[in-house]
Amino acid sequence: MFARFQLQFVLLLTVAIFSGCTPQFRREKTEVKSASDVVIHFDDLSSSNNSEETPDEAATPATTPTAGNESTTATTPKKEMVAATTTSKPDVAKQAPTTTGYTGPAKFVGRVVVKGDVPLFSALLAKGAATKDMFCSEMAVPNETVISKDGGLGNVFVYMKKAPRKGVPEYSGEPFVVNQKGCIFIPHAQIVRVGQPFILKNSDPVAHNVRYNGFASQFNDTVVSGSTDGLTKVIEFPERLPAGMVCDFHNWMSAYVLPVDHPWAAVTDADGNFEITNLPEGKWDFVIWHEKALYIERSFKVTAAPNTLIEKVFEVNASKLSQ
Amino acid sequence: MICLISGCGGQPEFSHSEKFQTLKPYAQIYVDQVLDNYFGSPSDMVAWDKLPLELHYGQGTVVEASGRMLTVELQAPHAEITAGTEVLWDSGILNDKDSAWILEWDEAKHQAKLESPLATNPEVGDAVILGPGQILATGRMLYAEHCQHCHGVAGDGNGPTAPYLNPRPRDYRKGIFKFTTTQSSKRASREDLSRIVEDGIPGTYMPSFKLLTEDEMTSIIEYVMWLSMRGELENQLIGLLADSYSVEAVEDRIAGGDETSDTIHQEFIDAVNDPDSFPFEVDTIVSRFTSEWVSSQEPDAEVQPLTPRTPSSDESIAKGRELYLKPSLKCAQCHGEAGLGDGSQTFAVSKDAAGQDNLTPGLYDTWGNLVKPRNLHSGIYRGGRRPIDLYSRIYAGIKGTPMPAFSSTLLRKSNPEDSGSEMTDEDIWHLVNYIYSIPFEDVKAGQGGSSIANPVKDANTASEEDSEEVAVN
Repeated sequence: MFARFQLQFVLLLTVAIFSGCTPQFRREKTEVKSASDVVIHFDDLSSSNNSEETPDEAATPATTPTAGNESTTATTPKKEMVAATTTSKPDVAKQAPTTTGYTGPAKFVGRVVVKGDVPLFSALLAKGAATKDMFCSEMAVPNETVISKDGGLGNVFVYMKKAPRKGVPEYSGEPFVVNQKGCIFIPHAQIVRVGQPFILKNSDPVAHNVRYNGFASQFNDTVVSGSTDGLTKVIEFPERLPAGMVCDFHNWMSAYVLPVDHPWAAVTDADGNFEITNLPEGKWDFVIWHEKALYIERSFKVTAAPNTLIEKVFEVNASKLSQ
Repeated sequence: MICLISGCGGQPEFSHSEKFQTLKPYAQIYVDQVLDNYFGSPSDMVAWDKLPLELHYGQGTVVEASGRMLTVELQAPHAEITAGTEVLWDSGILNDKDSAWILEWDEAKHQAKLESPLATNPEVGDAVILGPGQILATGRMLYAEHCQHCHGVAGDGNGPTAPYLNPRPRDYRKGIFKFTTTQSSKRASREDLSRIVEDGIPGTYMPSFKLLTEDEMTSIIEYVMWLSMRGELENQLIGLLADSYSVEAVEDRIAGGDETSDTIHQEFIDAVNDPDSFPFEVDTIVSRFTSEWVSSQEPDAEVQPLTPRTPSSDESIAKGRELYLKPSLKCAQCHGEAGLGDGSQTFAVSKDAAGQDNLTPGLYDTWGNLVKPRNLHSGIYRGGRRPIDLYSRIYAGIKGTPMPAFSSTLLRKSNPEDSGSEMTDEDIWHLVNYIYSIPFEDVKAGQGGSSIANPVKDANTASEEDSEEVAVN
């Protein structure tokens, strides 16, 4: 008797669970509205968001903030924050000194150097090392972290973060070639203009592929071995950070390509030097990025005007390179 | 008990992508607002007309309207229009006024009898939308019923069943789908997606949904593409904001000296309200993937063999085997010399997207999953077993995976001596013929063991019925 009662209870409970868990979708609740370009305004945020903007707020929030709970948590700004806003520092503080006596269009030159003890980088593939394609190790495959004797860091990307809306010169230059030779991508770091023909070659007797893994676009093609014509690709979309390129057949092979929609970008040479010329007049943000050190500068401000030469040496802590 | 009474957790919600939590809270709110404005939530969706999707039953213009009769000219093709379909006035004097509802629909005349007479008649040429957003709404219902438990509410491939599956369900949010018949630089076509839904993916948990009607299939495909676009906007926008407004970036910038968390916050608000800043960026992101999706649907995006399939023969299979082992193609590097999917690359340590060594040796896809090169002996081909499927895999690769496109390597002049001769793709067909023969390499009666030098005599085994309908297109 009791058992039967229990069974009924369990049954009831089951029914309750299932009816409680019936799909929450009901056709009539699906409201679809037509939306053309909605304009999102954010003015309410400046007043409501102060509570979240405390200086010690570093950990990721456990719950997702919504507009609803925000208005309830809105408090008056903290005193030190008011102080922070009133003491506005001159925004040239982080700017490089401009050299006087220079004539010509604005120019941004500089050098990236490594500070501290440079770790010893071993070759990616030692000379004569046993590997499936022995010709790859006929010559050692050097480490791609290029540091000159006096500490200059090569293969660093220096580029304008966002192209100006107007006055960007059209690209009309040569196609750009990436070769794969001795199981190395040559060059290792390169800037391309969006729409610039981008020729992939393979001088080796074995297959290489090029897997370009951009954030905005991707491709993955094998490249004919020993080809002189190569395979022409066009990257149509700019990236915010250099995109990685790998060969899946040889795991040590890697390269970085940064497609940009403007000409104001450069890669440092083996001594760590770079030069960006013909800067338009105005105030521009530059990103300085290296594959190991990652961001060296997130937004370095450069104020350009005719007859200005901006010079700056950027330092990278050696410990960041050994990661 | 309270949980039981109140139901299990309320309305479904789109989950955030993993990187969302790395943003500062104000940037998170902005991402939410953008997604909510352009896409809405699962229970209150927004049909955004900028997306290249078929969201409505039909769109057209008024030809004649008086009282309860409405004749329209519809842009073909359109979905089936039934009684109770909403008529939304998209321009003219009735724009923003209450919708009308169809009582009867005459498909031949494109004429509707409305539930109640019109107070004001629209003018000829006014734009109307029939069944606004209805395809999306149907798609969502079907998705919830059939797809969501693996692919997740947001299409993130992380539904409740997903942790138990290998391979993992597809995460749509990169806009990349693996098995396509489009060129290597293109996305999936609608036909590719519907073929996968219809046939399933052999060797995985993706079943076939052959019993769906044509309209149901359309709804599901449009909804999956809609989810993919929503996810891609979310990912790209988070990527954009994380550059300057992630918790880490803001700490970096404050450590840099001349900025405080307040000035950065103010800069963010200014960027949101400046039409040339974030709104422009959102627009750029959406325009980019929109144009990619649109161009991938065009006929020239499709992989088109240059020549009809080379009939399978001992000779063709032997040539395919030779190509397969060639160092300048390196098929065996991943798939193994015997085609068992155990090539040397499956033992090599590769690097992840951040440049760090992967913990488990082997090959990885764009989603960070360990992938195994296909064992060609099983006779199971995930992207389908038609000759054109294998051809497309070789020609255009498998998107998002280390399998590259071989179009540039395998197309050659039909006469190597004559540079003016036509291009031929017969090498791809030889490989296709060889791949079809592999599962039967060593089971042929009377043949004894497998022999590379003397391939199976009658190799029209797996491909016999297929080889008849030579796969052009």
